[in-house]
Amino acid sequence: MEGLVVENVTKYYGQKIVLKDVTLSAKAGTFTVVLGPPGAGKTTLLRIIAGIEKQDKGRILIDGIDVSNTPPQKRNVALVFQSFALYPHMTVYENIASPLRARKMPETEVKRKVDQILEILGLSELRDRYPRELSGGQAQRVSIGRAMAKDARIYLFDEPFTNLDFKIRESMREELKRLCKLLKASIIFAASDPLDALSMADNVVILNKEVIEQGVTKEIYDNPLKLETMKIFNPGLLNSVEAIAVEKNGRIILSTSLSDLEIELEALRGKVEVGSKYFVVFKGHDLQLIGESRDYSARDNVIIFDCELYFTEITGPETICYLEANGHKLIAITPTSLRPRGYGKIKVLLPKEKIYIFDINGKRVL
Amino acid sequence: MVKIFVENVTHIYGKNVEALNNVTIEFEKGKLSAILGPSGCGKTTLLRIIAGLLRPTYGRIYFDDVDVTDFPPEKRNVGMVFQFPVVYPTLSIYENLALPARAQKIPETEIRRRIKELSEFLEFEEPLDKIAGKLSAEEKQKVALARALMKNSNCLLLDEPLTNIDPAARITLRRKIVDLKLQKEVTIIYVTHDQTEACSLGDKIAVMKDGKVLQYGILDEIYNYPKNTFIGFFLGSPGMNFINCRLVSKDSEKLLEFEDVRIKLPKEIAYALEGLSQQQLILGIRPEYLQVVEKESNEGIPFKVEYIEYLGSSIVATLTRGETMIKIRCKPDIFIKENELLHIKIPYEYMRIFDSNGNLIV
Repeated sequence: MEGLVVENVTKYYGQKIVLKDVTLSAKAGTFTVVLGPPGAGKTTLLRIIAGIEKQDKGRILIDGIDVSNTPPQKRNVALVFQSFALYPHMTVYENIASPLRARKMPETEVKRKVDQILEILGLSELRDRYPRELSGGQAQRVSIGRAMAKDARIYLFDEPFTNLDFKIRESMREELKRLCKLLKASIIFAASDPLDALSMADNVVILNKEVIEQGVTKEIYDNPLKLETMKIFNPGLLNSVEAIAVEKNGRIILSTSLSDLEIELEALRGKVEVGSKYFVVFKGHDLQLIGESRDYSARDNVIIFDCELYFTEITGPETICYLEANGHKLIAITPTSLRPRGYGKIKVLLPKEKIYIFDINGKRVL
Repeated sequence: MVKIFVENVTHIYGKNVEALNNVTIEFEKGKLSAILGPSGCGKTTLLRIIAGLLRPTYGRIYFDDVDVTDFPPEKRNVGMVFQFPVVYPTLSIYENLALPARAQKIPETEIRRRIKELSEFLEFEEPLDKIAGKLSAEEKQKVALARALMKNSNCLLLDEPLTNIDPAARITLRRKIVDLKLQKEVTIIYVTHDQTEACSLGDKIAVMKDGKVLQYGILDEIYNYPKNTFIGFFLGSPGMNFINCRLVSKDSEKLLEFEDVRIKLPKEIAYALEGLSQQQLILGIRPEYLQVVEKESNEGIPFKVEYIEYLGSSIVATLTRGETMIKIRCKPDIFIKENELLHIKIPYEYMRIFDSNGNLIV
């Protein structure tokens, strides 16, 4: 296969396992985000792909060739770090030109190539500036430019947006995605912010020491098979309630203590075991606050229950509503323009199709 | 706790790098004021001047009515928390918290009481005898925050305290700061580049750029009535859309014209634009306020969908008509496709009009 294959890679630091049997592949021309919390082993994985560290088990293949024993400089891999490693005494132009000159490229060719990279990155006007005269976003683009000058087969990005402003991050995501399309190489981007994956990645690998799940980003987001995936994708924005499966008049019901809420789903039959515990999980974005006046009782595709709204937090276009229902803390997220203006009793509506059910081990049941 | 008044403060680094340009601002007692701006706007410089770590080139700083400009940091008695959590790595959590309080000669029983209260309030996940150097970034930052709260400070100065915390923990810690400002009467100045933090924490928000405070007010005001196009774009995700248009008068009506489109303006807006006919203006509208309507409704302007970004809980689509480009943010269940036409309604109540220099008119 053209591109990168990581095969059964395991890595220990002393007794501690940091990567466990990691297998993934990234075709040339695709953008893959490795998403995971701090300490998940993302940086270690990138360093192993680059050849800076050696795995204890497993293989790395680039364009079908095993490079496990190839030194870093011969792997044709470019690595972009969290902090921008630029030469302070060199201009933007010189910084990008230096890896080309190191390869003994003729000077006319160097100029042509650097001019092209500067153009693509929108840095042409900054060509004579020194790193200290650049903003964080500009410096990060130059370090990406340096990586591009290498003409690598694999580009590795280790959380390159961490030190950038919120607003610059927003535009960099758009820019980087566009750029990488031009590179025709495999892009591996390590991130802990799910927005990086959602906005840029063709494919996502959810990593937490081992691969939790991987696949097409939108499919994994919409249809996760593990609770951990959902948590990583929706940090702080999920509701999770414990439930127990019971049989009632011949029907299977998931009974929760949420306002005596019983969730009956036709699809549950055959998937849950009576007497077992489950997690009923739904996103804050899917829980809607509704007025008292409208009557939803006739609709059987929704669940409606009472809550106490005790706090709202405006985060910009969206507002987080903090709710309590029978001892459960829940959140609902509404557009700020539609946010409730006071606290107190409120009804909430949850479409049944937006409910995810996981077993006690965090494996998706429905 | 005190009220903080910054009067005509200018700060120049070296010979001619002006970090602050004649800033005058009052931070209310017992409230959280957020200072929001891009890197290099001067926000950290302002905070350091308030803390006494820097002396302003010109201008004065007052705590209540006391001029503290010449006071060294220790005499100002402020609590500070930085972007990278600062703890004594070899000391236990308890000792980290006790040290500054002992320096203030607070009795040991009182110290113990406060540590207990703060550790419960901030929900420390590790026992108090754990060595601080071994904590996660989030727990270290909690310790740093608790330490700033241990002594009887005049105010709390927070410099991007959540930037280096991972996303999930950031939300819980942000909630803690919300609780803090609700439950305790603390004067807090909170510097950030992250609008989410500024919006959710700030009783008031000051937007800074190039060493100046551009606007200072409550969120609703800054979000819905940005004084200029920079603020409109900087706050919001994606930022406000700006459409270059021309104002035309026809019969007794006023219309905004861009590309081949003419939008009739309601009386309130038309009235504010009196005398500006034929001028170039900028129409501002936030991506989440745009509405997708049916073609048949005749209320929408057709735009071509150029690019769709799927962000999980929402979709951001880039749309064009001729040279005009806008973004719209909507729920993910809407069905749209690239290269198709989408009919967009611009609701009057959310329209903002700026002059050609980008200053808000109405």
